[in-house]
Amino acid sequence: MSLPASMTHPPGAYLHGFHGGLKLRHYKQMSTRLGLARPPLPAYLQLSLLQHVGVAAEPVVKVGQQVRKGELLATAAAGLSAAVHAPTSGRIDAIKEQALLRKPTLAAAAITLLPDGHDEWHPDCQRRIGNWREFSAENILQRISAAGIVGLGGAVFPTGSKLSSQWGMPAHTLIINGAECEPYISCDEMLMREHAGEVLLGARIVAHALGIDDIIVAIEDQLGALARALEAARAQLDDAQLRVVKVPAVYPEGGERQLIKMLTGLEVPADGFPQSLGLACINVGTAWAVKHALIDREPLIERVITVTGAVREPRNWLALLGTPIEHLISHSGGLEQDNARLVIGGPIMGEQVLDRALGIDKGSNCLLALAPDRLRQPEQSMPCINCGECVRVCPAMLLPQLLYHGVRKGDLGLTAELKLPDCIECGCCDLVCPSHIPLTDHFRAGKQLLAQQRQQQARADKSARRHAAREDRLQQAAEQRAAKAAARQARASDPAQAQAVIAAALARARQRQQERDGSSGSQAGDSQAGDVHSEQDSEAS
Amino acid sequence: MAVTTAAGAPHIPAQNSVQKVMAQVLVALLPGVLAYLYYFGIGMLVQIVLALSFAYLFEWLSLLLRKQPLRMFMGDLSAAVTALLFALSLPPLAPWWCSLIGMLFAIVIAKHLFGGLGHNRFNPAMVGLAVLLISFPRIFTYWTPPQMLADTSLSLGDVLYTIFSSQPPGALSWDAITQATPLDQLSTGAATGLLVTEVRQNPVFGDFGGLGWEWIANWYAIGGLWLLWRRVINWRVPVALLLTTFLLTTPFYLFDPDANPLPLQHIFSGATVLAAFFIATDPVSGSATPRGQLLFGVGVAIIMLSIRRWGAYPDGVAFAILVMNMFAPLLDQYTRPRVFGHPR
Repeated sequence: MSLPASMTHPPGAYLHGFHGGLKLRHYKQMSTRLGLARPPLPAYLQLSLLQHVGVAAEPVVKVGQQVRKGELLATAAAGLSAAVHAPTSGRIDAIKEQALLRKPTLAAAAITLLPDGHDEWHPDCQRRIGNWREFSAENILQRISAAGIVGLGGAVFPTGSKLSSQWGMPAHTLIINGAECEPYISCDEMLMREHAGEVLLGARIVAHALGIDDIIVAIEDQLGALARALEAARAQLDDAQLRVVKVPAVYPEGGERQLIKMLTGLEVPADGFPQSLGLACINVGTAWAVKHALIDREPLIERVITVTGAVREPRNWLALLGTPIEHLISHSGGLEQDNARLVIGGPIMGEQVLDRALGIDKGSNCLLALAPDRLRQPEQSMPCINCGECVRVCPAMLLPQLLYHGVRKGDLGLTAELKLPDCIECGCCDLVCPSHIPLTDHFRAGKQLLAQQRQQQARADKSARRHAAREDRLQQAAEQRAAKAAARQARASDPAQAQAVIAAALARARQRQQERDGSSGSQAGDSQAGDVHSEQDSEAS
Repeated sequence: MAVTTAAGAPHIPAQNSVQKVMAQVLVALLPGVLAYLYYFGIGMLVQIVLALSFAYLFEWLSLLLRKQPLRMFMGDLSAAVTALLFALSLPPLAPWWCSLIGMLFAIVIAKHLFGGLGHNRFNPAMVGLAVLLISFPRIFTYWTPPQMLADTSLSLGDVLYTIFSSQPPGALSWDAITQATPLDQLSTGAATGLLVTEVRQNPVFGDFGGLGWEWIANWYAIGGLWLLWRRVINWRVPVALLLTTFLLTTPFYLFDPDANPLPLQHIFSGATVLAAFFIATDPVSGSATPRGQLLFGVGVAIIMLSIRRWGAYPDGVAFAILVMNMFAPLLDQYTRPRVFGHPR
């Protein structure tokens, strides 16, 4: 596969580093002692219809309806959306509005499913669907979309849409993102350890669909045993164009743009996607889900989630989507401290769990219990002393301290100038700030304000355009009217024109008369007309 | 489940604190302070105690009047850093009220009237020093010679007497106990037409800079390197300042060594090294951007050398830093770094 001119080496041949980031203490081993397992079936599953980026899925089942495992519960809406399937067989108990687990300020419809305990597959599922190597790209991408697969690294962007979006140049490399960089999270590591073959097969299927030969699996460099497991699986699949690349463990390397910079030395343009560099990048779990969709004909109904921190038995679960938080906690030995804070996601970018009755979603990679003594204290922050540590660690290469002043002053113009929307909310600046300023909170708020302002601006622009268009239209109409009037006026005031008009009218009248009368009695009219004509002629001359 | 507002990410605490940053700066100054005491005697210690006392008196009063949380701000150690940098710039025998006036301007006016910690446009210690340099220039002739050159050794009692009475102790005159600094001598030497080599015959000069001074500078540099290693400061300001000083003076020296001092002389005398690692690196009054910090260091060096060469003051570090403080917002405006994923 030929590489674009901007790449002097194949991706992953050298490591390039990226600006900023942090080397953090990891607590991954904590949750990797026990193997992957499935928790017992919970009493209920709660499936949000907005587990992805975009528009909520539309339910196709009714309350009281019996469904089987893998059956479609909600279909992808128009636009960016993803389907939701039944994780087990059972009865639909309710469909009602619920706060989102990972975005508690938003709400969407959620389906409550009461498992019947039979865990009986829908007949459409688990059937061989032929050799994927013979499938067309469209077919594979369509099957990925139909299975409800989204980015399982936490970004939850619908994978089918992501892979079929515009390519800036010919696709040449598929990157499998296994660089789990937040402390505590080990779900990708465990998945690769125990199902390396499935992950690599899923990756190969995606690469096949995109017409790509080269695959890079990127993992953190301290995972030597994992690298060997992946190598073994690669050898078994006899996949010569798949490489395992170890990258230094620097947070936030799991960020797609940071990982691509590390592997290629190139930056994905701020307004572009990896496709602009001929790259595709998907998470380990996503590749695994693709394998299940294309080989086993199973939609996305479960995922690996790390349950760790202040729980008695930290481990990774292969949990059905919709499994309640409370269920996972109690089967992980319960909380060590009742007042521990529950966080969905990692300790740096995760969201606090406000309702333990909610079910996990497609983006729930980790459920972390943080004991109070591990938490950031809501202490009063000190003034910014401009120390510049935030500038040093910012992977987006922003000037966080100036952005902070901009947001504080409400100077949205300044924040836009300093590229606030490029903030990836990784939290690095918070972690190094000696003044303990909640910078990321400020940036989230500022981004929201900017987005609102842009929306308002867009609306204002739109109505301004409409107004201008209306004015134009009115003016044009007025001009046309004026032109017509002027033309009439001109015709009336210009004798030659007027004569021509009159002559034409007379001619028409004469013709009609002739047609009516035949030949008789028309002479008089004729001569009269001729008289008028000649008189006017003489006047004009 | 009770509805509470979610705590924003990140959920784990920052490791650093303002207090820790300031404490490390103080620790890094320690080798230089000890060297200072060794070469110039106990007077410096008295100046430090005076400056610290006045600094904290004014800090406390200002916080009280501004109704700011006392415990948080009294403990941040920033006033201690200001006081120490100020005291290290005073002659060891300067009268006690120097600290009073200096800290009044540093803490009350330069810092709290501008909004307190983090809001000062100018380096507080340098504001205090500049006020004294302009208003009471004679004080800065009260430098004692390094102890190995001193004719008379002063006891603690003598030093305290001098500082609090503004009079030389006993029957001694000011001339007997003070001596022009190496930079003073170069300055007056140049004015009277002496060659640098002739001026440097004076025993007050050492190998590169002034006797004693050069070693104090070395110890400051060691503290500064430790701060670099601890990532309390970054390399840009010190490297830009020292490199510019060296590169700008080298051609002059090579062209006419009789009229221009050794480049290392400029680095190892006066407050050059102290400024490079401890004063010009003050983040609050400096530039926020990487390129801005380089330019800041270059600017300080150019202004400092200009004042030394053509100005009325032998050193000029304080003024150089204050002038560059004025430019810091402008530097920030025009040296913004490229953002990830955007073209340059």
